[in-house]
Amino acid sequence: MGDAVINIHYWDLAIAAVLVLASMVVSWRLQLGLERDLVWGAVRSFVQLALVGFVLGWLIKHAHWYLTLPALALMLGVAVHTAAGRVKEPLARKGWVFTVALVTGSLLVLAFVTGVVLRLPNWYDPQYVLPLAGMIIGNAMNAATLAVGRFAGDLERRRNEVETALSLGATALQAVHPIRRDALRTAIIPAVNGMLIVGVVSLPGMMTGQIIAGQNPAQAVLYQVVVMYMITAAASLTSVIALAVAVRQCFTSAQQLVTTTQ
Amino acid sequence: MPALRQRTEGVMAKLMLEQVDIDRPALVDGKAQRLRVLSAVSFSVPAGGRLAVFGPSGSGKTSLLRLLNRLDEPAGGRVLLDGEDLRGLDAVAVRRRVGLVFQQPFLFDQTVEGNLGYPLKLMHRELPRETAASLLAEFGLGEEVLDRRGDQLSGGQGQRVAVARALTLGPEVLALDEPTSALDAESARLLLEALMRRNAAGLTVIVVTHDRALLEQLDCPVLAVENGQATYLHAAGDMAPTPPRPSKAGLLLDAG
Repeated sequence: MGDAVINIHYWDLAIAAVLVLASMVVSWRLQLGLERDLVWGAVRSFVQLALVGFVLGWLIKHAHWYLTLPALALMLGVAVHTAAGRVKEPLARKGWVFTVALVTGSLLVLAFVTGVVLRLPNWYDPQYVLPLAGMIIGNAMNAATLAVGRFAGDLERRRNEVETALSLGATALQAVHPIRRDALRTAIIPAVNGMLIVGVVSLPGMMTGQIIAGQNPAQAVLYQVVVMYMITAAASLTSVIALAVAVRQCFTSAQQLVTTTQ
Repeated sequence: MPALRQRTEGVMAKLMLEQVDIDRPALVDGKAQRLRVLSAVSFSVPAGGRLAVFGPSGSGKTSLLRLLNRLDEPAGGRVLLDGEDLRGLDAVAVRRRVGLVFQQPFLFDQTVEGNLGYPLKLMHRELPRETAASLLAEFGLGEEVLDRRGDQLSGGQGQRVAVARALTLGPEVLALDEPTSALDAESARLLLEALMRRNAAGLTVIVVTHDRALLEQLDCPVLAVENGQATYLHAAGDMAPTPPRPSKAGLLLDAG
């Protein structure tokens, strides 16, 4: 074990704010017009994270399932809302698509990691469940947003292709197969790339955080590997589910492509 | 309007539309609406018959065609295939019996052989190369075309491949949207000849067109579509000599 962790105090944070100041100078000198966004970003990140830190600290001190569960529900709710808002392409019942995908995909992966891999004594232990859930839901949300956005956009552009396939006797699933494939690849490839470069190009947060906190690096990297696998699974599973639900919103029971005019 | 019966001179109607209303989705002042394009359309085509659907662009001819293989549903009325309402039939089964070729047909990113084999592939079956070759030969295309890809074909070749593709499952009806409008004279001739041969062999053919010359060559009853109405005419000769104008009166019948 290393020396005790060096804690950061609020005035250390003020000193760190000089880094933001440096970015603002760059923006001002080169006329990027980002000064306001930089300040706003710095303030918001501080406030949001301070709140999260406070809440997490409190939840860990009072570890109960009836507190962890609402926290999870809140995280999922925000993720669904964010994802649905980010997809600008026309698609019916976006909220439903993301709700089913994120809830099912995230919870399955979370359950597997906490229950089978880590074998937590208490499934609701916030110290593990919430940070892991955060990573899972965040990545699942990104992947699902990419998949659904790409799918809905392609479906509009490639209507002719889809209706040609339908006219030749394809079911809805057969007709969208190439579009679904492209959308899933778009969503999953970033996770795969992440696995390819981790440790070589990037030293990600899970292990760096643990190392700084004094954890043995050999153990910290094991955690990181689990996280990489977990993220990839979350991305794949959530995207597949999201598209399965999305396809059903785009076709009638008579294998007809609906027209989305928003 | 001629009386339409299920049986005309002892021949059962292959395809029949009864009082069909057709809507098209549109954006009106930024809101999604459905616009009535055609009202109370009624006609029938006997098995092995031909029908031309004639009218200016935007008159709803394409929308009408899309009802025939259940790509869309009518807003009112019924579409009957061999006397059965399409809505009571499985959509995929209908599409295997009623083929539809779009105005600008889409060729999949495969060879021509792959394209021709696509409908059978959906049913986990293969199209033998000899069958594909003889299908192309019907349309005046050589066997070497089988190995070409969509972007290596001329417009005329692509259209013929698309029509051939729609025939691989042996449909009872083939509906075509402006099949010759973008074709050179030679391709158009080859396509029409192939269609007429198939028609003589029993294929019911429905052609949407705004080309009067094609109407003459088809030499069949015409459904004249204009101003939201469709008028059934026994022969192209019943039409007014001048091209239809978008007028309120919509006079398509010869005054005599």
